[in-house]
Amino acid sequence: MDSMTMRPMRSTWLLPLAAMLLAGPASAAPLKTEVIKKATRRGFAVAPLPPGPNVKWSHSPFEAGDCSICHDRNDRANPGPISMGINETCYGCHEEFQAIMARKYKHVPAVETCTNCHNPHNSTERKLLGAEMVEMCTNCHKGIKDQIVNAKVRHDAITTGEKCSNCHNPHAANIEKLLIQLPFDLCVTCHSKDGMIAGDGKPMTNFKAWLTDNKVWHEPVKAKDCSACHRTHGGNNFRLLVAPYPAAFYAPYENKAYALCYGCHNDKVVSVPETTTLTGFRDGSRNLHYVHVHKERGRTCRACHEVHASKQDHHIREEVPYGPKAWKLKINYTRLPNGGSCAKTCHETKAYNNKTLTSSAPKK
Amino acid sequence: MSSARQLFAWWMAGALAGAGLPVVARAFSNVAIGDRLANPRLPRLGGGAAELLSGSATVSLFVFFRPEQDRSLEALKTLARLQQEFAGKPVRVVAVVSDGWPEEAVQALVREAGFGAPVLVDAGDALYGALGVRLHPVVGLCDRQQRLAAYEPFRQVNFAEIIRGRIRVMLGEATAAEMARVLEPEKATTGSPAAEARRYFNLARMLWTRKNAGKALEAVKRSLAIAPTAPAWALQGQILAAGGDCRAATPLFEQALKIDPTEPVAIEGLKGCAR
Repeated sequence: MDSMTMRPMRSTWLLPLAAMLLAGPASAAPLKTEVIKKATRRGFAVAPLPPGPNVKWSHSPFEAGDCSICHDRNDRANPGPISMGINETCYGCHEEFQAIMARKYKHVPAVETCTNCHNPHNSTERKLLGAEMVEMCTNCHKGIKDQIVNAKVRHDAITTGEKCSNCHNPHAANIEKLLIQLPFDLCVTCHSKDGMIAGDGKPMTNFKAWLTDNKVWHEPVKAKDCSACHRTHGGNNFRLLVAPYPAAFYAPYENKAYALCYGCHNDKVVSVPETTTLTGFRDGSRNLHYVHVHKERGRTCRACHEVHASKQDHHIREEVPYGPKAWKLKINYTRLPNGGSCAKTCHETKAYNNKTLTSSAPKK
Repeated sequence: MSSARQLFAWWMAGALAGAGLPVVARAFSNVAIGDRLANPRLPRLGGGAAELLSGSATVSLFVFFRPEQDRSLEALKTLARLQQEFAGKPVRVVAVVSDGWPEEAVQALVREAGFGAPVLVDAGDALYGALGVRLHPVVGLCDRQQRLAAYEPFRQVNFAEIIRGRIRVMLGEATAAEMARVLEPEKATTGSPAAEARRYFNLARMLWTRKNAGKALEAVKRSLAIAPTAPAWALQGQILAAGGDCRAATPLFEQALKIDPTEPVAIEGLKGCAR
């Protein structure tokens, strides 16, 4: 996973904190973004573009001068109107689109007319698109454009390969948001190899390998819902996280620093010193999450939990990286009938009992 | 937490333990699929009280939510729509919210979502703790025997589809195989060699209709180069035969009939060349 290292020097927690402050407030991603429904559609040329070095793509019938395939006359100078409706004409050859457009989720511009996005004659773009794909899509999807343009952390999937079509089918799909597959299946198309490096220079996880080796999966992973935590079009938080989460191993506790986790989890699991209901990680009523996190060098969630998948229950990791060389220190968590215990090396062996109402440990 | 709430929490935990709930089961942390749930009577937002589960409905759906959370708003909106969709069917929906939230905040969220089903108040997060809920929003679905049939946390994509599918399966309106397709929808591809070949075949057919034999022949050959099909072989034969070249056309018709013995253009073409 992320190569977050536990620093032996006490003052180093100030560095990430300073970095966070300098970077300004990180934002939570909205669930929905603005889409301009009508005004800007049909803004792209459908007439033939004048020949030029950038006009690299041409429609077969147009190139061959077979105007009558679509138009009334086979006369380049005066082809007349098209013989049928636009989409009907296109489906005459591109008949697979009748089945594609029968899928449950349809892109409204594609239903309206193919020429909302395609120039039926020639184009500077592949697939005879009316403009460069990201430019064209974000012409309506303004909210996505804002995310892409303003993102401090960018996602290569937007700008490489098939761009928007890496993940979305712009015609119709069987999944909401016109996704080609469920988010996880799309993400692992790329994030399933070793050697990928993130924008911050850190190695990225080979998720196929990681999930194969670690069978206790975090709920969003099980649900194939990577977008529960990651903002796929670009964002302001490291690793494209949808909301803030401390970038460093240690961080002083404040609720808003964990907005990512609290997007689903109850903040009281961590923020209240006493509970008998909210978590099993308690000794009597003493909330041990609170104990670990509420310190000047508070342990962030990653100190004990693997985010995506682990070998142990509760997503508890087996070891933590320590020091500049990222030595692996064992957590040695053991599940017990009345709770559990952790043994050296983070601290001496300590057990907790969550089947009682009172704690045996002295309160600080 | 007040001592009364604490007592209630422990009564709830005891009640669930008495129902034989395993501690380490999946789904909710303390309740596994198939386990029978206790059915506490909880205070309702706005007054009165109601039970968590229905004794008569085929499907009892409950959702744990909280205010100040976009996902809860989306979940409640979705469930409000589904409740309308299943109106008149034996489906009962309730929402559960912690009493730790100000009532006005809860009311505001419920109003914004257009959620008209009962909202139950979980005093001291007792039910939350007893079931081992752990996250918001999350949906549980129980059958008439009050056994947990499905557990579905909110997801950004296809949440409504999944909840709808679960309800339909429980109502007997959908099969397990249909539900599997909801959980793993078919990949939405666009292009394929077969589709591309078909495209050139269609173009060839149109050109042939317009008596443009040369270009039609070119297009059908392109189609055959991508993916040979009976109609494409037959069309190529037809174009050649029409030009008087039955010698070249005959093996093409035969090729088409090898793939599809009922290919009508090939059958007619062979007859024509035999005359």
